[in-house]
Amino acid sequence: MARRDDIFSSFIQHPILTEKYDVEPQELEINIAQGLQSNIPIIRSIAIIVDALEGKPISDNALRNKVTQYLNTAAI
Amino acid sequence: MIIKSICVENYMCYYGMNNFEFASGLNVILGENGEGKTKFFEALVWLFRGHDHSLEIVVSAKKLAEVEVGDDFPVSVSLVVEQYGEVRYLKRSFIARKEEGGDCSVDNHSFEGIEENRSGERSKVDADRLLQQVFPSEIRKYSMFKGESELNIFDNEDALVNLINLFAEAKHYDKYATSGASLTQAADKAVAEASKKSTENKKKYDRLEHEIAHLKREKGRQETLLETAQEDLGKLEANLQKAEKFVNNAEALEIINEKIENIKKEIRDEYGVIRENYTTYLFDENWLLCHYEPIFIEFEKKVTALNKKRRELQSEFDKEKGRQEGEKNAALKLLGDEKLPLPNDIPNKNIMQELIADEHCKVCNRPAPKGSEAYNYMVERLQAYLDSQVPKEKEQEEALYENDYTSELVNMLNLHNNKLTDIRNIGNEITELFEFNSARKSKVQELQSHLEEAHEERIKILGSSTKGEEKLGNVLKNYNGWQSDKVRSRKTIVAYESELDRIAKELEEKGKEKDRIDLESANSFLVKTRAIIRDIEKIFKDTKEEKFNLFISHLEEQSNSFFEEINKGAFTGKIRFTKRKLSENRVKIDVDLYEGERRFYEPNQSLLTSMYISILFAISELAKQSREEAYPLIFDAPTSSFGETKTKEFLNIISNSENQIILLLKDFLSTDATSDTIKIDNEFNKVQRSKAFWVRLKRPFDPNDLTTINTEVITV
Repeated sequence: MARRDDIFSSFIQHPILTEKYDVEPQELEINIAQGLQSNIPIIRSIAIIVDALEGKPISDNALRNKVTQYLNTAAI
Repeated sequence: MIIKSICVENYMCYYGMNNFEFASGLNVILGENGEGKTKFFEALVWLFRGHDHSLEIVVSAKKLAEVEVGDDFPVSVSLVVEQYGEVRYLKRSFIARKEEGGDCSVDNHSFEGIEENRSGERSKVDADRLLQQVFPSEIRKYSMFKGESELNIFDNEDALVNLINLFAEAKHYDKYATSGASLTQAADKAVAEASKKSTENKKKYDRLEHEIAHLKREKGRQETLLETAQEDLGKLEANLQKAEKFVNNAEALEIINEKIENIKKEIRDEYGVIRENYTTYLFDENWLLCHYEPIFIEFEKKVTALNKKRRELQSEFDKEKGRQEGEKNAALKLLGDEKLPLPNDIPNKNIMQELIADEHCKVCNRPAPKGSEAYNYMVERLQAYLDSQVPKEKEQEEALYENDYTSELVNMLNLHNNKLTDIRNIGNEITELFEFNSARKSKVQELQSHLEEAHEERIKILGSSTKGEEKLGNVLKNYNGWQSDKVRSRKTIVAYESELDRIAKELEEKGKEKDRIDLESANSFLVKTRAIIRDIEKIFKDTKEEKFNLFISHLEEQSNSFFEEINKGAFTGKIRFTKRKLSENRVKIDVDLYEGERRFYEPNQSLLTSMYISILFAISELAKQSREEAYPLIFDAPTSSFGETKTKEFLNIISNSENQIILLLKDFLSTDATSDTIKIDNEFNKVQRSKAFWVRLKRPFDPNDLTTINTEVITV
């Protein structure tokens, strides 16, 4: 498993996702590619951040824009 | 990677070529102090890092002395390693040239690297790059140690960061925690700006922000106070633990001192009642009369006899005198035996004179003419009366004894008789006093013996303590004081913690209040975005923390596993890694030994050394796991405090390690009494090892002349 998958997987194991966001356990068994396609905003946001931070260097502003842009389209 | 061989050539005490062929597993290099062990270690350090000093100082003095002026010779340290089945060569060297006056110049300093592939082809490569490839500097930092004092790697604040960067997954999560915080900050700012568009909200917001800022400052202040109080408590506990080592001695000393004082007082009391002024008692207490009774009896006999004789003589004398008196009285008897004459003054003088003048006795009324018997009788009676009126010299009574000494003697006898009981008791008194004094002296002797024992005990107490008597006394005083301080300190900590709880709750309330304003006034998208971002930040932070803790816990577990093995059968406690936050982004790990929840503040050096070595072994294991490659561990005299037996056990335990270990030790060498030469003890035969060497100075040599110094390497 690639490091980005490891990292992403570690994050989505956090209990807050099941406790607060009612994510089903089977929805957590995904890799980053699947996370980038997820319909759950928090999971997809995490995937976007991991994808960005494990790629080419990115500024805080650019990262924030990426996340807010997605959340905006996700119509949360 | 394993080190196959190291060759030291003309480097300091290593004259000529000196080759060490190593094997995997445990390699031991024995050597007395000053005979080349540390120089070997330093040679290796020089190979890896070079040094800032001039190269001349590492040139073998013996070699330099041997060559002619103008001649040159190589000085080098080279290393052959095997990595992934291929051989690598590293060599640091220079040429030394002998100059006039015995000086030395150096030239051609080089660091060479050669790779040899599996088919035996060799190619020259950049030595620094090759070294980093075969034995990375960050690994060497945890693989090479000189002496016991360097073993605690966590003394260095950066050690933890280095370790995490080297081996822990946690290093990948740092940037997420930072980015999470930055995203939350931006989301908070966006929401706040939206909420503040209303003037009323702005006022509320500003007030809340002011209060929150104040609470945060207060929180920071309380945290500092709490940290200081916790540090103080730690110091107190450390002091108490240090003192505990002496406090038993201090208490024992106090008890023994009190005992000594009591014994001394008893001795003084015993001496105080001993009465030995016997010469005085001879007179003052009449001891002189002890054997007086027979003398007194003799005296009594003689006085009694004398008294009797005196009384007999006196009786006879009195009889004689009585007889004479009787005759005298008989002569006076005129009126018959039963009739007493009238007194001289009856009739009185005038009547008598009248009767005489009248020559007639008017008493019996008969004439008494002059010259008649009756007349003469009356004249005689008048004359007797007149004579009686004339004062006469007293008649000297004749006595038998002029002085009554006998009575005095008798009185004295009676007096002494009365005192005889007392006198008879003098012997008993003397015996009793002698017995009493003797008993006191025996008691004093017994007490003196107790006093000596107490003194010996005291010496033992003081001898077993590294503190002096005065300091031991202070320890006891301080110990009791520290105990009270500890109770106070704990109460203070509880108070700070409770205050921090209160502040946290208040902060939470203020936060919720702010959130309520946001919910009412800010754009719903912004609020929802912030909520997600906040949760993401929490996920990032918690995951980073979890990975960090996992690494530390893994390291702790591994260290304890080695620690237990090294100290098999002995009480050790557990190694515990405690994370301490130095600032928002700085964390330090404190490594301590614990027995349950009780921390050992003063473990002995041997325990500390085995603890540090265990941690280093654990790190080495981590390196192997994370890099899928093992690296050698090289220690110079790491177990000085162990003693030979423990060192032997330690070596036998680590000899099972899969890692290559090179240990330089001064143990297992002793001087043979008969030949006065140094030899390897038989005990060393019981040490399991892969290879062993003995480095020693070739005899004879002059310790003051470096040109005679030459360390030879003997493969054992």
